[in-house]
Amino acid sequence: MDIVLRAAVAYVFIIFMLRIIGRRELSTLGPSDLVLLVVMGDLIQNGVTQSDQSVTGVFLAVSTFAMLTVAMSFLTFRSRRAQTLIEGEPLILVENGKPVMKNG
Amino acid sequence: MAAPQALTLKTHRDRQNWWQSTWIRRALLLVPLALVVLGLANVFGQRPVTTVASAPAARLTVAAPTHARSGLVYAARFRIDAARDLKNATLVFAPGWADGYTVNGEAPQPLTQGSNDGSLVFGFGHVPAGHRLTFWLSLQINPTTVGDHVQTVTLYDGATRIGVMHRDVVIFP
Repeated sequence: MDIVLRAAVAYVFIIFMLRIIGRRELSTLGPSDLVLLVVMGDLIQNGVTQSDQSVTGVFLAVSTFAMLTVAMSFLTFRSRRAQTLIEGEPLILVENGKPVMKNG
Repeated sequence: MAAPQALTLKTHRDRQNWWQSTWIRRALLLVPLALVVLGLANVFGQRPVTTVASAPAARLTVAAPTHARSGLVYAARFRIDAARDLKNATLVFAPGWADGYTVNGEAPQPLTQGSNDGSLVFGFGHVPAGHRLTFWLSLQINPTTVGDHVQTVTLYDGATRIGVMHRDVVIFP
């Protein structure tokens, strides 16, 4: 039971963190962004699985993440507000041939 | 223009084969969903379950998981509520409490420790009538341990058996 709850909390926390640190794409990652994305998985692993070394634990944690991903996709597809909240809004980067610097 | 040779319109454009139905993928999603629901229902552990064995002389309460997964660390709690004087309260743990486990610690330390046909025998001495003795056993399930383990606990006063509690733990791989 605990592992499902911990995985769910970790998932929501990761989504929250990725939303507040701003937009990142692979081609524009700085060194610090790369460090964050690479080590994030390791950092949350202990909190989710703790001392669990079982295959059952793997199934539970991955299933929880998968179900939350499906739920998020459904939610963002169905609700404009949820989409804005979870995925953010589109930004105009270039207008009339000129870059919009504050959105860059 | 014709489609590339490796592609067939029935399969790759129209997706008319039965296995390409969206409903099959949705049905398969029920598998992880079922795992999550069963996990939340504590089917795979590790929430402790409290069981009680009562006798005129004393009551024995055990709180420990009955379902767990390999590698988990947990503490089992044993409580003896003495209704009358127990001269030499002794708990005897079936081998399932140690077999496939790492015993990380005991608190408080029993006055005596021994073995009887593979069972662990812990003596706690005198427990006066109306008093309570609580004992914690810190355990870790070894990563390769799986299956059903009998974890019977028996309370003795010296050589007199006061009560017995039959428990099992199912360890998932």
